[in-house]
Amino acid sequence: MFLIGMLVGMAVLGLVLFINHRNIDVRWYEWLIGVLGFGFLLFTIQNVMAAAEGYWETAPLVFLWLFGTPSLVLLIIAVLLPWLRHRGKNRKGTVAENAQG
Amino acid sequence: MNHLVSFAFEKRGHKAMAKKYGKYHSTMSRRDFMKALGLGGAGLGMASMAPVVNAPAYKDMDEVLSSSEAGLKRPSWVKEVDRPTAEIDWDLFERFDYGEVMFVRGFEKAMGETYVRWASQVGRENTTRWLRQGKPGFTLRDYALDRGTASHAFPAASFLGHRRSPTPASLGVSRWEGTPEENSRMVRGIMRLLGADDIAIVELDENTEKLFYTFDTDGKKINIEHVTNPDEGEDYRTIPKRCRWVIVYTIKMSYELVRRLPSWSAGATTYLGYAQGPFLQDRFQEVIRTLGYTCLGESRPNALGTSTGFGVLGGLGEMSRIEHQITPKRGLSVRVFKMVTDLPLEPTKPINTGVMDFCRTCKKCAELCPANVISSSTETTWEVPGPYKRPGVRSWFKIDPRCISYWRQTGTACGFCFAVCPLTRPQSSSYFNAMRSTISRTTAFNGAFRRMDDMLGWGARKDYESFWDLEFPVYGWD
Repeated sequence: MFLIGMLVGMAVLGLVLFINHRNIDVRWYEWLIGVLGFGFLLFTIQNVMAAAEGYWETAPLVFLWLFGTPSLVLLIIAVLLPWLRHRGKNRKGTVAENAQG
Repeated sequence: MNHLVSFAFEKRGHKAMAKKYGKYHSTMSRRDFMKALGLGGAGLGMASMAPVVNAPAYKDMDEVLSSSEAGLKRPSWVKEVDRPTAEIDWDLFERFDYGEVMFVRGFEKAMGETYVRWASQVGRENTTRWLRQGKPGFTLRDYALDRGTASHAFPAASFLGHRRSPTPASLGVSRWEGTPEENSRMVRGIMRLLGADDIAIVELDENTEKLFYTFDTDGKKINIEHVTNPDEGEDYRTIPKRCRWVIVYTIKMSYELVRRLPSWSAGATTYLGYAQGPFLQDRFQEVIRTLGYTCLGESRPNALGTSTGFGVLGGLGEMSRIEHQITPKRGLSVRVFKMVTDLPLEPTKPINTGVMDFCRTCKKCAELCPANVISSSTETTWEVPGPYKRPGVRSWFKIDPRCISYWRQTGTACGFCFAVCPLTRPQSSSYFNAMRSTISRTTAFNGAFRRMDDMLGWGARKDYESFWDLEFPVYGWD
């Protein structure tokens, strides 16, 4: 638990620093989707590990499929939306610079 | 240390100094300390490395009273209620002769002597055949574990207690005095130390007294009378009316073994539980004696009165489709015991965690019971299936003679219903805790949770041989 808390804290800190450094614009709903996706991911990892510890055969796979898939989808959306917007903004900036130049 | 200095000052009448040192006496438990450091997780990890059974270690009675172990700890989704979720008609409910149950005369009365002999003969033949075949879960090493633990499963405990410890009179001091709340915390702390998992208290009145049997497991008549002292003779036991509080408690079973029921090796967890209850009782009775009070126990597990009845009324768990209580923390994987005392205690209330509503929908135990014993009806009933049950509780009822017949024929105590119950699942899974929390609040997802349980493949394990590859925690307590 403590280790997971540490890792989560470090990951969140790294993410915020990265976003600020690259000047990426992240909307509130993208944060929300990201948090949901991350929550699902933690839930999946915890349950898969608990099920695997208990020598269950089917349960880890079901947890992966049932909670892991939506977590991945949400995380991809949360990353993709700001990235596409950021890329679009950069392109526009480059086009404008070329037009001026 | 500071506490001792404080005590020394207090004895000499230096109240100010006693207070000064007394206030340094830490009432913070180890767990609180770790929490305060934000290291709860690390603390849990360290606790798992602790020797033997992770029993809390106390230095003195103050620590017992202030310990977090001493409080009534329940998950946040456990709701206390005034009446149990299983309806009881106290006018209809009467004291019951234990001799009527299957383990005494009930089986023979229901099925006849010839049938009983036949079932036992089949059991013996099956045992020999499976041992020779080396059937998984029924090999010689499984049988050895089953018989080894069964041989000490029902140790002779004492109704009156062994009375070896000193009394306040013999020490020349007055007896312990505390409020019911303080006493309850103390009792819980001591009992946790001695191995109890969960503890509840039922106050006796004209209704709850009916939960005691008329005749005990060994046929002795149980009297509840206005007498000064408890008594036991060749054919009777007397509980004084002043003993108003029943302490009902659980001993954990091994979840890894429960899910492997009904194999011979898995039966060990049942027998170990039955041995650990009297172990606790013997010591606890002595503790209460030295405090200056009476504590009466079971002469053997399941004696004195109905464990499920007392457990449900005290809020240890809720009545289920299989007539056992389902506890919030460990589902069905517990054994239940009881003691009676005149030490004033604070009664605990019944609980509602949505178990009966879940049982109404689920029916997994009824569908999978190998002996087709468990009622599959949606609604509960007041009608009992035979003289081996007493009327007065609206519930589901098993057909006990069929159940015991299966036990006899397989040479096991079965327990398959324990293994398949979706509410008896590993605590380590956060999904399971979220599920219990949800079913305690709404019935809307009960069907979905049952289907999910099937999907997850949770429930009984049939690969009994995998038992021998496991690395078990102490007593198999996971």
